[in-house]
Amino acid sequence: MKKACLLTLAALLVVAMPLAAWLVVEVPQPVYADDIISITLSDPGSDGIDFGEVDPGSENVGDVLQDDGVPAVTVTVAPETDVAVDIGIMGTVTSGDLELSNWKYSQDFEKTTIASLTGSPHVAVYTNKVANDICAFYHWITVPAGTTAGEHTVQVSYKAVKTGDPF
Amino acid sequence: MKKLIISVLTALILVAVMAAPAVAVEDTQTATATVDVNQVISITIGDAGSAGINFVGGTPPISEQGDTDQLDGTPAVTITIENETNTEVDVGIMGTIFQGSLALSNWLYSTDFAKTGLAGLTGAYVEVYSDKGPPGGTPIVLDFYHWVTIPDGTATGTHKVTVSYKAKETSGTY
Repeated sequence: MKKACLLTLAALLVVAMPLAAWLVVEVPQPVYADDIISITLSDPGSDGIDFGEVDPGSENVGDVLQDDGVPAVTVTVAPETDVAVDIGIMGTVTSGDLELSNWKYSQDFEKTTIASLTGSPHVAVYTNKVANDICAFYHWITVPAGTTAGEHTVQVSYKAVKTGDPF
Repeated sequence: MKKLIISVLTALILVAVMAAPAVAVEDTQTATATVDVNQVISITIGDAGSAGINFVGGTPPISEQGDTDQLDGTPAVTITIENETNTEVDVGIMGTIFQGSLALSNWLYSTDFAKTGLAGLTGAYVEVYSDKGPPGGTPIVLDFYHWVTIPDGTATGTHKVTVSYKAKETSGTY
């Protein structure tokens, strides 16, 4: 009986091993071509977003180097990007106590749809942009009376995701 | 057998497809935004009763006579650090003889009615309150009680002093 069992096992192995090998060889490996999304930033002066010296009680003071047609920051969808993308923005206070709501942005110099930065997640500003599209960001600051004297900074993050994907 | 193999193969393909890692494709770039907020220091002066610091006076000698309108809890002068002040400040005091010959050292001040830290005015600012503020929404009120001493031999008539109060940034100079 024991012998019969061993023989059966051996026979099964002999049959199963080639079958397993065959299965491994024959299973097709899926190939994925990831979407490519790439953006670049530029700003006049290359000094980041700089509001200079501002008196408390000032409202919507612009980046010192931005002008009509010259945004504080330009986000360009790089040529290698092969899908449509949405561009979002968010901010993180890195020094000082000036609340994010005082750090603002707009898509044009006239402040149409001016809005305050918010924390995570990013908020979509431009949608359905493709390679080589240029997205303008004008930046503004409001300094309420009583704001602590000295330097305040915020890290502004611009993010591109495939159109429709969540940030 | 062939049917079985095809079924197994299909299942394996499905498993492989499902198990493929989801790749989040995105790109993020950052820029630093900076603002340098200018310093604002603002104080206002309050005065109990009649305008100015007033003493009854009288026949010398008189020692440490108080302002006619000041009481315990009602200083002759209050200095308020206003809400727009956005930095920590020190507040100092000085005097300048405006009329008469009564020396500055006879014009006295203290920060409470009990005359704690009573001192004579000087011709240069002397710090009385340190490291005050910023107010952060609630103005800060600082008390000044004033007193005068009239020594024997003081000339008759009116004597006046201009008293100045100054707030400066804690790290600054008067």
